[in-house]
Order: sequence, then C-alpha cells, then structure tokens
Amino acid sequence: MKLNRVTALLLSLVLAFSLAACGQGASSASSAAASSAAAESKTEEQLLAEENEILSANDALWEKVFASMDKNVTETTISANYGDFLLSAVEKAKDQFSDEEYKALTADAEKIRAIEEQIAALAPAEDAASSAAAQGNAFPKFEGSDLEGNPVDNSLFAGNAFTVVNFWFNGCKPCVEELDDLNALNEKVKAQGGEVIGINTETLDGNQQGIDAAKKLLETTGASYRNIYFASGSEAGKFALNIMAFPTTYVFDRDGNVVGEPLLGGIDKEENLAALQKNIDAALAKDSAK
Amino acid sequence: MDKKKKKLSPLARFRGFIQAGATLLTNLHLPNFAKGTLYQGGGKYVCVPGLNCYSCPGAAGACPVGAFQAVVGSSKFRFSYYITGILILFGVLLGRFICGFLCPFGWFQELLHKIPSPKLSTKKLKPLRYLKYAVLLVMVVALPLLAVNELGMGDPFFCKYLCPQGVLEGAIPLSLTNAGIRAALGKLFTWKACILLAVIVGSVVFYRPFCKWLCPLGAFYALLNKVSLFQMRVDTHKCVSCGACAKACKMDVDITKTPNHAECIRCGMCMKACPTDAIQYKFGLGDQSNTETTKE
Repeated sequence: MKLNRVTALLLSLVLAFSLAACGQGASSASSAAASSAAAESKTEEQLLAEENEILSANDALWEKVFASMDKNVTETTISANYGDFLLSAVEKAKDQFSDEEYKALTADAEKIRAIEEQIAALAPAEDAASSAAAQGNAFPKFEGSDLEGNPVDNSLFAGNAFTVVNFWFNGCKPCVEELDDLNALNEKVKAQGGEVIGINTETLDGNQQGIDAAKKLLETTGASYRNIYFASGSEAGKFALNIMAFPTTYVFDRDGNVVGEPLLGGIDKEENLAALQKNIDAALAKDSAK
Repeated sequence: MDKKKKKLSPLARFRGFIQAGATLLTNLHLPNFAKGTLYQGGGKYVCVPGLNCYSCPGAAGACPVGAFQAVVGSSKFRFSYYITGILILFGVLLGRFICGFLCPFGWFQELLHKIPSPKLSTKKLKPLRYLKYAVLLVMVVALPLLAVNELGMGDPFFCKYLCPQGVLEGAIPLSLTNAGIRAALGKLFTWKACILLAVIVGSVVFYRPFCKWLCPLGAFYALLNKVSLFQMRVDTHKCVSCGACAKACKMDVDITKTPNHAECIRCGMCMKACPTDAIQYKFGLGDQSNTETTKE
C-alpha cells in the first residue's frame, strides 16, 4: 500500500512537471535568431557601403566605364561576382584610359570582387534565416490557384496593404459559421487596401470533391472572397497542414510576413473579431510607416 | 496468503502496470507535449479503446467517443458505421475490461483515489449509474445528430460541454505551450475545468466516479459486458458464500449473483479477496459463468 502511494505521488509529480516544463523556450530562441540575423544584415550593408566608397573615390573614371557598358545586361552577368563584371567592363573600355587610370580601375574592381566574396559568404546564413521565417514568420513561397482555376502566387501579398488569411475545412462547423463574417470583413477592408483569402485544407492539390463542397458552402453562406489552394507537399502546404486548430486566421503584411499572433476561433464572436482587428490595425500602421 | 497470491491471475496482479503501459501506448508521441503540437498521422484514423482525447499532444489514435460525434455531427453522414463497428468489436472482445485495464482516464481516477483521505461508499448512489446511458444517448448520439445548423452540421456535445479528459489531455497541455490556444481559452474552458476539478476531487473521495456515473464509453461497453468474450467465472463448488467479494468490490457488484454485471470492470479485487480462489477470468465463447445462482 505504501509503495502504491509513493508511485502515485511520483506519477502525479511527473505529470505536473511534464505539463509545466515547456512554457517559454520557443520565444527566447526566436528572438535570439532575430538579433543574430540583424547583426549579419548590418555587416552586409557595411560591405556594400565600402563598395560604394571605392567606386566614388574614382568617380569620373567609373562614370566612363559605366557609359561604355553594354546596356543589355543579362541574368548571367548579374548573378556573377560584381567585381568580375566590373573587371571585364574595364577590360573592354581599356583603350579609353591611360595606363595609370587603368591600373587604378582594375585595383578598385579587385577590391570590390573581394568584398563581393565576403558578401557571398554571408548569403547562406541569410538563407537559414529566411527558412526560419518560413516556419512561422512569413508565408512560404507558393504557386497555386483559386477555386475557379486562376493562378495565384506570393505576389498576392504585395498587391495588398495587408492580407487576412483564414484556414478552414468543410467539416468544421465554427469555420463554416464565420464564412459570412469573413465576407463582410473582406468588403470592409477592400477600402483600406486589404483582402481576405480563404485556404481550405480539403481543397489542397486541387482535390475536386473538396473544391465542390467548399464552393457549395461558400455559395450558401454568400461568401465571395477568394479561396485558394496549392500542392499539399509544398512548403505552403505543410504550413497549412501543420495548423491543428480550426479556424485559424493570420494577418500578413505586404511582404508576406505574419503580423501579430494568429487568431484561433471564429470572428463571428465579438472578442475574436476585436483580436483580429488589432492585427489588421498593426499591419496597416506598419504599411503606412513605409 | 502466499498460496493465494500464486494462484491469482497475472492480469489482476499487474493491473497497475498494464494501466500505465496502456496509457503510455495510447499517448506515445511524448515529444509533442514539449512542442505543443498534435500527431496528425495515420494512427489517428483508428480509435483507441479507452477515453483518450484526440487533441492530447501525445495521442496515438482517436477517441472513439469523439470520433463518433464528429462523424454523426458532420453534414455528410447521419451515422458512423465504422466507429460503431470498432466499438462493438472492442466491446465484444473485452467489454469493460477496457475500463479496468486500458482506459487512461480510468487509471487517472484510480491514482487520485490512492491519495489518502476519508473514502466514501457509492452503494447508495447506484441510481446515478443510469446517468451515463443518458449521456451516451443524448450528448453523444442525439444532440450531435439533431441539433444542427442550416447546413446540417452539429456540435460534438459531449466533447464540447462535458468531457473532463479533453481539458486534462488537450486544453491544459496545449495551452501551456501554444500561445494561440492560450489566447483562445474562454468561458467554455472555465466550465470544463470546473468539471475536471469536480471529477478530481470526486475521485479522491469516491472510486472512479466518472466511470460509474458519466462516461458514455463505459456505458457502451457496459451494454456489451454480458456478451463479451472476456468474462468472470465463479466456481460454485469452491464458493463458501462469505461475501468477501461483494465487500471488496468498489464498483458495487455482487459477483456471485451477477458475474457479468454491466458495472464490473474486471479489476480483480474480488479475486484478491476471495479466500477460496473461486473467482477466475475466462476468455472464450459461450457462457463461462458457472454459477448456479441464476436470478429467479
């Protein structure tokens, strides 16, 4: 009996600890990532400033080089090291310059090439940051279509001051019950340059049955705002399928970044609508500050 | 004493460990507790035998009661043959053995009952037993089916308004790690947290109050307890009618009269109490109860 009591006590303790152990963690980690990313982008800016200084030191000469350049810059020349690009340009315009001037220009170009290499070394770290963003801060890159079959991609965010994205599925009662409220919201925010977008997880991959059912629900509730889908295996698809509470409503800014905390629950409830409005206001303020 | 222990079925002897193991297997995805996410893989297409919330971060399968309501409440279906079939299978194979050995919430209540306190008998509260059949009929079947909106969608009434396991396994762990869910907690959470608290306090004082009075899953298995392959058998030649079994039974069953009573969760406490080892587990077809005392 005593043993039983001790085990019971231990188990309840373990339960309590396992529940309480994990409150913060995530937020401190993400803020650390953000600050290190800021440090890196700063150095990149500094490097670019150095490049500009080098160019402006021999301003007159470089103007000549730029003037002699072929205007049809192709993608390959852009993606190549800018230093190499300048070197080849100097080489082509060689006969316009004295030996001394030519030497100064090539030296500058060499310096710029070295800086470019440094910047390139920074790039992978930046990629890591952007993939971290894909996990929660930004809507992942996607190519999809709306329920009528018109193509849609990430550019939809750039077209709006803010975009309200509502995740739902056909069998979800609270989701369906807020469709008319979302439609009203869409009509309202149009004037502010905003848009409401629906993403129904049953329509991913263009699943015809899901699309038909979703269209029917949208029609009966009188919702006419855009609903879109994409491949379930894409990053955006994973983003949608990782959501575990429906309805969930995000607000994204013009760059496709999340504003505020996503809202769980339907906006047919006043307090939920107020919470969503807070995110919208924040997005609007951010956009007008730009 | 020693002689008796040797004869006791290992099932009854290691029941606590079996309960712990079953709870662990039912909630195998332990890292999800820290991540605040749910397992959403193929396992969730199958029901676990016990009352275990789908929205528990660790849950390996779906809750049969929750799944039933979700299907019945959807606009596409009126009845869930798949889940009813699984439930009948579980019920016919094991009956309320599931309550006594496999249900995580049953184990939770039993652990709470081990907390030292004055213990009260539930013998006089027997009529409350029938409440759980009403919960099954009204909250699990009727309301999700009938109380629908204009699109034919109903709510999972039992999960939404009554189930304390949902708060314990779903709402509490998820809200601890997930800010969005924390923000979404409202009046409904408060209400259900009160129910959970009442069940917790009740479990310390009474033995398994939720199983006895409220659990719709227990009610379903209770209906199949009489026909289940897992049965109790009382050897009338060994029985000395001392009444120790009835006294030991915390589910208020007199096993010598009704070995396969709807309330019997096969916990084996009567077997431990029996001085002549007259009570045994039997698994198989046919009526295994070998009692002469058939009721009038």
